[in-house]
Amino acid sequence: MSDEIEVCFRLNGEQLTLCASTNEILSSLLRDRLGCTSVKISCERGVCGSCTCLVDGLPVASCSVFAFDVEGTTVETVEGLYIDGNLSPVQQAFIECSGFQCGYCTPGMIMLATALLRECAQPDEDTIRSWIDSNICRCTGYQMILESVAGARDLTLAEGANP
Amino acid sequence: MRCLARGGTRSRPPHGWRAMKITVGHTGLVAPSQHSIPSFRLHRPVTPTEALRAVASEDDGAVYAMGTTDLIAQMREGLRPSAVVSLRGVRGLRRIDRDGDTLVIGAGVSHYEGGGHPLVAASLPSLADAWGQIANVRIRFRATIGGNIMARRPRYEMSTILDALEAELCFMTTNAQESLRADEVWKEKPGPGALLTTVRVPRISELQFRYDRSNRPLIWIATAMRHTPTAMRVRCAVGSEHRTPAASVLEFKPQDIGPTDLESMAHDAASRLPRETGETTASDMYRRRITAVHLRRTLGAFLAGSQHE
Repeated sequence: MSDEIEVCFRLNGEQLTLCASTNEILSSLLRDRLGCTSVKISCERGVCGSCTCLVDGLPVASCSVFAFDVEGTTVETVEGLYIDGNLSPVQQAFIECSGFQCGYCTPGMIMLATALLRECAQPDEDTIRSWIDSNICRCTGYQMILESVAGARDLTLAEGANP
Repeated sequence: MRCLARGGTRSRPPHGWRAMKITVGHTGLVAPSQHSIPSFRLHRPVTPTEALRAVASEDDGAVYAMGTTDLIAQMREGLRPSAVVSLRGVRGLRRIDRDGDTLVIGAGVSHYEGGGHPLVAASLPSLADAWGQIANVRIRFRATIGGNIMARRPRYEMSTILDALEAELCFMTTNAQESLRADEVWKEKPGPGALLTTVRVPRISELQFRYDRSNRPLIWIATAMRHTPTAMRVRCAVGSEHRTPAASVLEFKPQDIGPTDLESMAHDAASRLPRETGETTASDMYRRRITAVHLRRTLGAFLAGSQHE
């Protein structure tokens, strides 16, 4: 009964047109068919945020979005942040501030932080906390993640770079 | 196709996502996952009328979809619609405007849009503040006021907030338009296929509003006071994790209230909440006690403010 539907969207700067089943979930599309394994599947309820990617610049739980719903949008994953051999300021800050342990939540945290810094160039600690509160980490206790986001903010401001 | 045998020699089960579908469908041994989302037909209307026609064409097997944060969870929990009618392209569902003294909110407005909208903030700042606290940042970008209401999950907050505000939920059906109070959607109204188009908060200039979600998931409390020419009318709506929202109403004249009367008024209003608010996380008596304390403080703040928001 499943219909196939054509979906046109931009993924990490590349224009794509592909056929998806109507019941195909964005996280499956990104991971299984497009090789974006930074998108992690964990709770499958939109709660943990390990599947966070950006759709038109906004962080979404890709496990809770149908593939057909990204028609005409721009989708970004961690794979798209590494450009011409250079890490993004957010990725760089997470390394410098040791913002991860097992790394499973890290892609989601990085995409969330990227969206935050695009929305607000100088977020204060409360704003960083309220955003990072969206995603779950079982390893770090969050402090190093908060420091990483603050570090990314400072790095972005200092270098005048885009997050 | 081989399946797990019941006792005896165990044959090799199918593997991968195919196994997920089989085991979910027949044994219940595997929790539903994204690989068990059922197939469905997809409709993508651009007007509310087209959306209604699409649903009508599917003989009660269709569901509406907007943010999909809850719908996909429901499909993983066993919901199997024959069709999904995506409302993301439907014009007019994302509006926020004023109709005289009524705040009109489209059902497709996300929590992020609504909580940060200048018209909501200008009309009732405490509503904007409350709306901006629902869920988390990531969910707020995607989830909508309409989805929050029509998911009919007691732990979702908009029903409690809108109940206190005595908001009207406006539905379109193939035959007519229908308006319901927020508490009426828990009574399986309106009928299947009706499309929630707008939420209207009437006489908004009369309102003072407070929302306390600090005790979630135990309890959350929305209190609205309306200044009418003859009296103050207070509606206090209480939400909890597993029970549908309950409300209690007070009416009084401020000049008749002394400083020591607030305690008894709050206690009286809280005591009129139904006994069925109790559940495993807290008894109804505890929940009424929290409500009474909140209500006493809120009434005091409202009366001390003596200004409309």
